[in-house]
Amino acid sequence: MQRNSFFLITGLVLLTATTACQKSLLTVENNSSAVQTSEYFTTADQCNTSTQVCYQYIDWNSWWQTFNWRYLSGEAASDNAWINNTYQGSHATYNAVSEYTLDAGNDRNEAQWIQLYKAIGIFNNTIEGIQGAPIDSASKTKFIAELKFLRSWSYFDLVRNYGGVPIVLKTYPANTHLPRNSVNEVYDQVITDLNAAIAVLPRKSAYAASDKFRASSGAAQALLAKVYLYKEDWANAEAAALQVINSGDYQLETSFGKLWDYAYKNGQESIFEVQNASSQNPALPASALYMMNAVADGGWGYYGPTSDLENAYLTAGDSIRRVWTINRQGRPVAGDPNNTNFNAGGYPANQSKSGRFPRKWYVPKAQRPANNLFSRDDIILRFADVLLIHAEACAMQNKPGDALASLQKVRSRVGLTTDMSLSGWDLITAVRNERRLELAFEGDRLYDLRRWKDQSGTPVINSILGPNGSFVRYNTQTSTDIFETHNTIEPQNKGAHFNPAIHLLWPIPTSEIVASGSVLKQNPGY
Amino acid sequence: MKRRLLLLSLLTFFLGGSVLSQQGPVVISGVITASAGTPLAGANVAIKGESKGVITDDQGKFSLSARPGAILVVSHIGYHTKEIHTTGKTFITEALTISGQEMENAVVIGYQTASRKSVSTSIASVSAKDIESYTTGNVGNALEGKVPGLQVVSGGGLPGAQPKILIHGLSSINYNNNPLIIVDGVESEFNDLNFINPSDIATIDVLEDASAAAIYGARGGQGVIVVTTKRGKGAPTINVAGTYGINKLPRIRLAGAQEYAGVMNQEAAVSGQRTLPFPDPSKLTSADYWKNTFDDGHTQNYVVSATGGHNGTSLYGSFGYYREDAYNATSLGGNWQKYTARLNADMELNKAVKIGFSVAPRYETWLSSPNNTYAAYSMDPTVLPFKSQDSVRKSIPNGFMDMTAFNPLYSTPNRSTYNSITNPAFNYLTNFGKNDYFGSQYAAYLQVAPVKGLVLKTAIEGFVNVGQYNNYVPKYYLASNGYNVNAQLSSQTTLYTRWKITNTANYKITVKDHSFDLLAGQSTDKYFVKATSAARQGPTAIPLDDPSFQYISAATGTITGGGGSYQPGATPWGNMVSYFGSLRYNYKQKYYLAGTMRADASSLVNPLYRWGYFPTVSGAWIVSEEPFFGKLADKAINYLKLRASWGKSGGNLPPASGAYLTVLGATTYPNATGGYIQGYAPATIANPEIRWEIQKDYTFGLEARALNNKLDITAEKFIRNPSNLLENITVDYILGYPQGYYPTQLANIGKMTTNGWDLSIGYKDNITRKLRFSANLTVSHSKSIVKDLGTADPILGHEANDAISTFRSRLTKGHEPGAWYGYVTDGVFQSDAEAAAYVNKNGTRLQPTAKAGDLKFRNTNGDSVLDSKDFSDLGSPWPKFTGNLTLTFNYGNFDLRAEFYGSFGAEYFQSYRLNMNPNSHLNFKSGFADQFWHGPGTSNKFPVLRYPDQNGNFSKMSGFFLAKADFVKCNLLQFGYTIPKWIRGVQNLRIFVAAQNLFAVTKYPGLNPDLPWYNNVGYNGVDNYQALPSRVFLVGLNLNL
Repeated sequence: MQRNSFFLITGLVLLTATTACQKSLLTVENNSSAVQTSEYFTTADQCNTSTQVCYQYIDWNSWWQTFNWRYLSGEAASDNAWINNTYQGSHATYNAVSEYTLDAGNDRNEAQWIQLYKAIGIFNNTIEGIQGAPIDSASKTKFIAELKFLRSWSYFDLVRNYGGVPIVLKTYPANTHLPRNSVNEVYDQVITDLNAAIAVLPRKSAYAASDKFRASSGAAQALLAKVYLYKEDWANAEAAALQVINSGDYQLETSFGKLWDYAYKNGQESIFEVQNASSQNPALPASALYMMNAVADGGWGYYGPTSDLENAYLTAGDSIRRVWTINRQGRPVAGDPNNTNFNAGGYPANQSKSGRFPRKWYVPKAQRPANNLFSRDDIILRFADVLLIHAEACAMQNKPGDALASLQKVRSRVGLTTDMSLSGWDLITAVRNERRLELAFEGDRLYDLRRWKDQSGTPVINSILGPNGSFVRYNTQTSTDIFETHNTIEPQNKGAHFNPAIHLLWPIPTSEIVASGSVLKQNPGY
Repeated sequence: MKRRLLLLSLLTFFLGGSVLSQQGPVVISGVITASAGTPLAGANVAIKGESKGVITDDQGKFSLSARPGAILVVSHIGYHTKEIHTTGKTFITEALTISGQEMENAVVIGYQTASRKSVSTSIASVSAKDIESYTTGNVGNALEGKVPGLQVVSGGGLPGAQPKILIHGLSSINYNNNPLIIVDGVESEFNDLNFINPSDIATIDVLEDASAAAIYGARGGQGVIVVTTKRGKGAPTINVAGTYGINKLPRIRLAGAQEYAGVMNQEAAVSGQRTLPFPDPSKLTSADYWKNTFDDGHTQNYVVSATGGHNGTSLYGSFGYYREDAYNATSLGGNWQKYTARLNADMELNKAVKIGFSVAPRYETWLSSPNNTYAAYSMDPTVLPFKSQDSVRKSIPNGFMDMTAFNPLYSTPNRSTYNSITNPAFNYLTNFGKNDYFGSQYAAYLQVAPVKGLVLKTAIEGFVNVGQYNNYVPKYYLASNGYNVNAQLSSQTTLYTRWKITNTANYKITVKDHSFDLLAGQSTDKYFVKATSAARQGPTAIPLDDPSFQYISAATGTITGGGGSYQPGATPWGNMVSYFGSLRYNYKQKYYLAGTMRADASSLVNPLYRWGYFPTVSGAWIVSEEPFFGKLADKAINYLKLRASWGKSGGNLPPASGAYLTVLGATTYPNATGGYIQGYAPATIANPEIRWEIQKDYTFGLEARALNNKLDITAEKFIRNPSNLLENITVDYILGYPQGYYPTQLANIGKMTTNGWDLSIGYKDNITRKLRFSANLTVSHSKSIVKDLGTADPILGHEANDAISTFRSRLTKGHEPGAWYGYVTDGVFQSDAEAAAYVNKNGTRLQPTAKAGDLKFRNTNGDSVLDSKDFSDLGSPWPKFTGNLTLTFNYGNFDLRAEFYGSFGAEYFQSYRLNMNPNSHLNFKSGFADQFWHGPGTSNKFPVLRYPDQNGNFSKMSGFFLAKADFVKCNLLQFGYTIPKWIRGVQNLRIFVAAQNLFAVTKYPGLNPDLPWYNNVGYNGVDNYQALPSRVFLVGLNLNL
């Protein structure tokens, strides 16, 4: 019995001991590498680094996110590009976008919507963290101004894709639903954020070398000019563009090809670009350029220039930008002495629709990193774009002199003369054509076609796409292009399903409408 | 009647007496009855110590000759066996009493055991004899269909594949549906029974309803499987068992080069291509990638065990080795080896004090097995399997890669330039992922009975598991778009430790007809996971492609990837403090009433909401004990029990520690001068209130034994209401929550109901004295309906990157979870005119791009357009019924066992149809392409193979992709012979031959109707080239010393 008591007491002691230590035992909180938001944002350095890492959310640079949509929507849904990958079969929803057979369930379109709003949410959340931080007000205002610039880019991209969208400027509880704002309200919000940024941000030239990637007052002015252009507020567009032009911070690169050098980073023509690096450890954002490389060249073979685009260069006698925009089967590659015979998948192999791939996003063989992580930056705004915004704004205000001056700068750089007698619609058409030649494969083509109106006030895209569109008729009736006409895996009548009553905007994703509890209303026709 | 029998027996006694004196064999006859006097047919009457014996006839009569004074052994299934001394007797009447053995068997009910009769909750049991005949590394496979209410989902055909166990249907939508596994009181795992050697198992008790499982509180919600291992008893015996088997994969006949090229050409022609991909198919040579890729595998299992007790000390020990080689045994196809050992020791110090220890280490080592089913099936058969090492070298552009440690062997498998599939041999040649896993469980208990009826017990348990993984990715160059220029080496080590202490007090007292059984207990436990990983890679990371350099230690250069994790209170266990108790009462062992209560506090929940309380109540009525039941109890129905229970247990805990916290995550961004910035960005905006899921259920049961206990029936009906289910509530995308692609937040919002019934019928009988027979049938049915998903509704099931990229299945309120969801097809348009005539009431075409051969989608709602509003439920991925039939026959020393498993009512998605998408150029089963539409009248089910697929035949979810998966398969056929008293020292030797997974009877068109679990509750049942289970042909022996 004595022995029994011993065990009994031992048991009781154990019971007491385990109960006593339960408090410390149960207090186990988050233990990943994460840090509680409520405990962070205590120093200027924390606010500074949090602001800087936010720049990556401008461009979710994975192959299927906003980076992809820039080319899928901006180029392949226009007359500039094919989906081009006829090697793999599993991209039905890509085709649906470029062929205008998409519905509101399209996952590529959905990705764009989700990621833009995710970026906005992250910017808002970071702004809130910094706002509560016990740091000096000058730094605080500056960091917030940078984040506002990033936010304004995201809203600009939303409004040109979808029209009026809900304006979200803070972190809401999970059960919140907000209705759509009007197109004008969204533009007003973008302009408000940009003006706040312009007032606070330093010029690009004032940034230290390592900070050249950060939003500058010039970047905010350039975006503001573009926003006014989309708003058809020509006077303000001209004024904002002039501020950038006159700032002296930016110059055209002397040669067009220099911009497409693999090593080009934040140069004199660059106004705002997303930084990429070829680093696995630490894991830094890298560019998904392999998406746009030919399959035969180690890539995935998406997005190739149309023969229609090539013809535009040929018609303009623009050989410099043609070779720096288009790699063509069997031709030497501009800027790559190791690739004198470009392989787009051969002829008549079914690997690519057009036998052409974009040169702008090609990496010369000798410069390809062993880890396949490309450090090529994604240029979002560059000086040539601002010059053309200025030219267009002036042309639309019937100021041919100012327009021609800017147009000439862009053309001279690529060895083209400018007819200084142009005016009226001829000038407008010339500026518009120049935008296509200069900026092809940089993601603006579709949005330009949507916003441009012809003399009768009809969107230009209506006469290019659709069953009787000029691009569709060219492909189905005129074209004898040796590649495109022999590979009908991607249909030759691309764009024939374009319907002007529907397709000037992309649909709000079905899943978003469901998530909003149907508070969000769909765009007409979807 | 009785009196006359007595007279007769007296008479024979005297007669017998006179016979006895003659000393020769005597004829003994008699009548065997049940205790109430009814004759007992089929009773076995044997002479003790001899092989002679007879069976009683319909009147219970028998007659046999025996030497005088022989002892007769009378036995009958369901009755206590009796020995009868015949000295001086030639006529015998004997009444056998009903054996309540099954009713009296101990059932583990959680922290204590109880008699089967007294259990008022849903607990099913399996004993060793029902699992030991199936050779497997994971006893879960042997349980398939055998436990009513327990569903085993196959793990697939690769070595070491682990099955998945569901109890009483679905209990959660997004998280764990798998039961808690407890071995000898030690909480060991969720779902996985891999860690235990099947031959160590004495019994398995499955706590199925919440009322049974809630004694385990917040961890019991998915049911609890309680495994009791063998412990030492009796005289020492040693058992040696060995099994060897060959695994044969079913042969799939794929299209050869001519058939494949013909179909590809036809597709191109139909699609208007001007050039054919294979201008002259007749010149092609054919490669059979199925045959090239798969050959035979092997299964081996060896166990030595010993048991015995002496002077209050008893021991059970075993050592086992199990090995499975993948069905590509001749190359690096993968294998799985497992070494297990167990030592159970118990000591009774005196009547009051008992102490015991268990140690169960296991070591597993495996070479990961690549699943090559897709590649072997899809590979372009016109491509020769290999190229020479010389041509590999020549194909690499000059200066393209550093050739250090480049071994051309890995690049010799050919890659099709047409469909970009690589000869699956590549996956074998480059298969270097090696795993080592050491797991060990420790347990000790001390039990003291200080006063009568009171037992105090302290149990300490723990496990330490260590996993180690090494991988090597060699350099290779298959094609200009398929190469690896860096040798990559990686290594990962993970340590899992857990300890737990449990204190219980159990007091039992009987006052007159009232019996009480009171349990109170407390436990504390803690869990920790730590891991480190590192990787090195580079063009010159290793000097030679040689096994000795295929580890990270042998590589040069800096570590390029490194990481780790530090997780105190990691999921699924967390850290927990618990208090629990139960009260079990019965009156005259006729009316039973029980209740349990548990309180758990978990570190996985916000301190503000940390405690959870889990009550249950249950009752049982032994109807057959009632006087009114009368003689029925001895005739048709020998035993009848009714029971009912209600309980609430905890379901899944939050899926990560600290899941209730809003956090920032570390991230990096390049600066403008080649450096980078390290900073923190929003990572999760959390719901602070998340806690465990809840399971509430009602269960009604009936247990009966009839026909002189030959027939045994258990039937059960349950209604289970899982609530507070953790759902990733979709947050309106515009709020921009950073977590998840679709921004979501965890909330306890989901509700589901699962209704079901289980039936188990067992019958056993002796047909003749030598021929014995038994049959056991189980049938389980359950159906779940989603009741609420909050704003997460609907959740669509889909692939990450897929031609059908939007969805295939759906979770939504009022429907079965994961029901297939899409267009109903109304056949195939046989002509362009028919397609054009498919218009709405305004005369507008519903499918404007459709042509002859395209699928016709039904305009379900009859409106003017064909859109997502026309989608319907197309079928369920869940079987309506599953069941098992086990038959055994014994004739003398021969035994035969057959096990059949069946599943009915499920419909599975056929990736084999999706991959006929004519853009993909994948190969197919010979003749399969002929089933697709190729002209009017050729098919009204399968569409034309034509690209571009503007109608969306292959990109819109429709009934075309689904097939019924009813099947019955023979899980086991085993034939054995036992040699008794073979040689001195050998008690017996049994040898057997067996076949596992021998055949399936089915009309299912896919590769395997016994599909492994696919993805989650909302997306399951996709037949997508999962590794096929092989047929296993085995020989074995079992030696008892």
